[in-house]
Amino acid sequence: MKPKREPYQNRIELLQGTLDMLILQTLQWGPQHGYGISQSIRGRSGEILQVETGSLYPALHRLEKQGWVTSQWKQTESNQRAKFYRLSPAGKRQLVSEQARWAQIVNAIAEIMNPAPEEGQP
Amino acid sequence: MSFWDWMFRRRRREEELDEEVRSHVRMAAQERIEQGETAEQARASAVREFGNITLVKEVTRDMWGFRWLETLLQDLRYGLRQLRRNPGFTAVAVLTLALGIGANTAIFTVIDAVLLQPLPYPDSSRVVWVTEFMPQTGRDTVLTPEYAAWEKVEKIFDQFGAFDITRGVNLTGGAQPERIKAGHVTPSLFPVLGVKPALGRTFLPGEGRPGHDRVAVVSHNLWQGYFNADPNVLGKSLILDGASYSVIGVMPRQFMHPGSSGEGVWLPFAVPPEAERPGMAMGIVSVIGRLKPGVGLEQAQSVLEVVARRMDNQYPPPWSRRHASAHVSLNPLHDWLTRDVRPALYVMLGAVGLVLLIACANVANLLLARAVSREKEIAVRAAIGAGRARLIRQMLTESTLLAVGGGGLGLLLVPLLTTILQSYVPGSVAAHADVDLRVLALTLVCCVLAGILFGLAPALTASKLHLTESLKENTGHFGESKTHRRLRSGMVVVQLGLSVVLLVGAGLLVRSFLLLLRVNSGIDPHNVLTAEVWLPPGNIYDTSHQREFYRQVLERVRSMPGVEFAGATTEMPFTMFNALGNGLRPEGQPESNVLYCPGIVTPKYFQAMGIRLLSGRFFDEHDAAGALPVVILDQSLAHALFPGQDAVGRRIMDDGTWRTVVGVVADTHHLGLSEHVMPELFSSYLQGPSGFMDIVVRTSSDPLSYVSALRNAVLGVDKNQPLADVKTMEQRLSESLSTRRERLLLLGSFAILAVLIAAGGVYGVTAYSVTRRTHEIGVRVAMGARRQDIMRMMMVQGLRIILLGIAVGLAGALVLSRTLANFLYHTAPTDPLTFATVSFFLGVIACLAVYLPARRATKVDPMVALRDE
Repeated sequence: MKPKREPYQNRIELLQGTLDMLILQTLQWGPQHGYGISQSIRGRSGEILQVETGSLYPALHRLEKQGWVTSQWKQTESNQRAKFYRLSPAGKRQLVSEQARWAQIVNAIAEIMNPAPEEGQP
Repeated sequence: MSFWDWMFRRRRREEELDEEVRSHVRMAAQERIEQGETAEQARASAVREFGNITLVKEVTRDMWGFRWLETLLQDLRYGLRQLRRNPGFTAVAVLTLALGIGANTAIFTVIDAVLLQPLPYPDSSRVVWVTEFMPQTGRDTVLTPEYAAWEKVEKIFDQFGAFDITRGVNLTGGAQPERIKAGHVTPSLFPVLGVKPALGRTFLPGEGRPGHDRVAVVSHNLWQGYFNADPNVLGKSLILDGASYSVIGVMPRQFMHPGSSGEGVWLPFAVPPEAERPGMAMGIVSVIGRLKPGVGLEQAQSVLEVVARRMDNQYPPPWSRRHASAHVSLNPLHDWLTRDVRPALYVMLGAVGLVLLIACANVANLLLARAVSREKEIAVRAAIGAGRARLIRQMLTESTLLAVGGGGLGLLLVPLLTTILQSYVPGSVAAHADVDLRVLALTLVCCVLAGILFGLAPALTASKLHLTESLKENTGHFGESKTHRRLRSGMVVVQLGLSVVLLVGAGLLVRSFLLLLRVNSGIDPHNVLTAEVWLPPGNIYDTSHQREFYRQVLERVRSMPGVEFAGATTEMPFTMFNALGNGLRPEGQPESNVLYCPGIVTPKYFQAMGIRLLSGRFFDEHDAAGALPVVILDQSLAHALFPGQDAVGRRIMDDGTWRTVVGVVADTHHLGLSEHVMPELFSSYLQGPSGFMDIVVRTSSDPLSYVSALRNAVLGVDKNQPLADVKTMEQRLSESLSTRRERLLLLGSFAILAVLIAAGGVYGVTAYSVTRRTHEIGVRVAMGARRQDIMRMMMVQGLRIILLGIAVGLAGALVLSRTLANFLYHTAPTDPLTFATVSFFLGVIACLAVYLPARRATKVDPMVALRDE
């Protein structure tokens, strides 16, 4: 067997930066820990988007370093200690701009995929 | 934030990350339990679902920044541990590198001091050496009329100066008369160089003209020694060549005259008016100038060339057309002074560069061998999540550690090597060759580059290994992978090839040297003592005094017991300077254009020097003033003037006098063994004396034991007459070869070093192969292979590599040996004998390096080898 190191096979490749946006979006509804975030993204995408831990945790730590989220150790509902991430004001602003950018991208891609018939053509 | 704070916070974040991951897994498991899985199952699934925990932590940590530093520290710690665990390997690798890097640093230190650092004169890049190259004589000389004409050119030079060839002067007034070097310089010379005296002043314009020339600037050394560092030295007098000079200045300690030969004093010099015109009074000067800002070399050169050509018609024939072939050349002073050492230093740099490459190849091979034995360790690291880049980085850290260790040790060798190298650079050029920060920086760069160079191949191959295969038991027993073996053999081929190149270089120098030693110098240097005994010029000694002085000295010397012959000459063989003549007219023929060296010798000179008489007779006491004017020719001059005839008895017109040839002596290589024979014409000292003679004494025992007796003989005739340059003829001969000898020793030792390292490489690769193949060899022996078969198998494998290495090296040497052409004597850079000898020599050594480990292969006990499963 030829060994090929490809740790993140079988997943939908997220566009660069999209994971960050999804995390910020998820945190909009309140502080959440890493496991909760991944479960939430999975549930909301109808089980299509599976966030690998190898992407999730670096992303969380990156967002924290950039000041878009803050973290705090708290008890969960089931009385477990977990690290909760919360959206910061800067993170909210970032989310707004990411949403706008996302809308642009979606429109742009839609234009390409379903071109409107050009005027003057039969 | 201090380092410890940082480390502390780092540790806390580390713990937090652990906890974060643990809580993730716990929560995932909890959920599964709620869905009805057992606690055990749930935990296992949660962990599996999480993925590679180590890797996730690592990529997360990467987000924190400073990750590279952390990794580096980790790699360093790990690397050190690895190296400590293999002390033998580490010692060999570090020593090899120490030699390679140390030699490189030493050469660079010297090159830096000699070639890269500017000369110790302000704005020295504008100082140029002006000369005229004469194809007829092959010399660079400027005659006083040209200098005088150039001096009047405006707009080219800020300052323009000249100096006469440094001569000795007799310094009297101390305990014993001394001979010191005196620089005769125009007053403008110091401003050209831009140096100020430490005390007093230098010369004023006009000093040097008769009546204004009794002033002297002394060197720091003379001031310290002769004047005991007297601060009130200015105005004191100095007796030089019997005349009194007033000290006007002291130069700083570090001041060096361009092309210095250790001047003790500088005296003012002016071109006498009669020497400004072409004629008998003109002389030779060295000329330097400081270009005006913005004036280019070529522009200045063409201006001076025009001036020089315009002077041609003022010269008497045969010089009147000299600029048809001669040309003016301006050279940056630095380039000019280093023109002889520069190519040699570059060759040495190339040679040590090759040595370092060989050392790198050797260490790479050691690392490759070790990488194989570390296959499992690396496979485990890869299996638990180490990325390829990470593994390569780890291996490179280890190799760089080795290189830095080698470099550190190598630095200890540098002072020693630098001293050896410097002895071979003229004093006036070398600034102080110190190991400074620049050199250290270069060494570090050298180390890191070397580390990457020899670490990369092993790291790349090691990181590419096949996980599952490596992790399985027993693999690797049947030889190593093909690429791996090729790489290792390739390294050995490279080492052998580079060694051949170095050996060929050294071999060519050896062959040149041996050929030179076989040259018949024409003199017999055994048991001959020589000394320069030059009388002060000027009025004190007229010709009759000169004649009387040397007659009395030689008489005293000849009466000493143990002296066989004693004579004197104006043309001491193997000295740098010699007179040159042209325009002899043999009787019945037109004037000849043969260049020759005119010497004035006393009776018994030829016997003292051991020069053979071929026909006619030597000079004797009767060849004196008033008698028939006589000359003795050497064979080549006799042949040039009277081809195919006996020269004895024929006459030659020289200097307006007809002189009769009374003898022909054997040719001598008086310019140096490697130089062509310059024809010589000897006249009798009794018929035309000189005050600049060297005494030559042939003794019956060790000539050096006669030094004090010789000195007493001279002092007995004149208590103010010093001896200088007291040496045996054998010393002079040996010194004339010293540059070649040193070059040979240096390149030779580099080559030997290279061969040793390469032989080590061959040995290592074979020994390693034997170890790897113990099992296979055991099987072969068990199946009936005989010792000879095993030996043949190993030797064939080794020989293929050796032959390939030598072939590659010979090809490289064919290309590279051309750079040595100028250092060779009667030896072609492609000399087949040298190439063959070198190949044979290296071949034998390399075969031995294969044979020793191969013999071990023949002693493999099949039972032991097979049980070794």
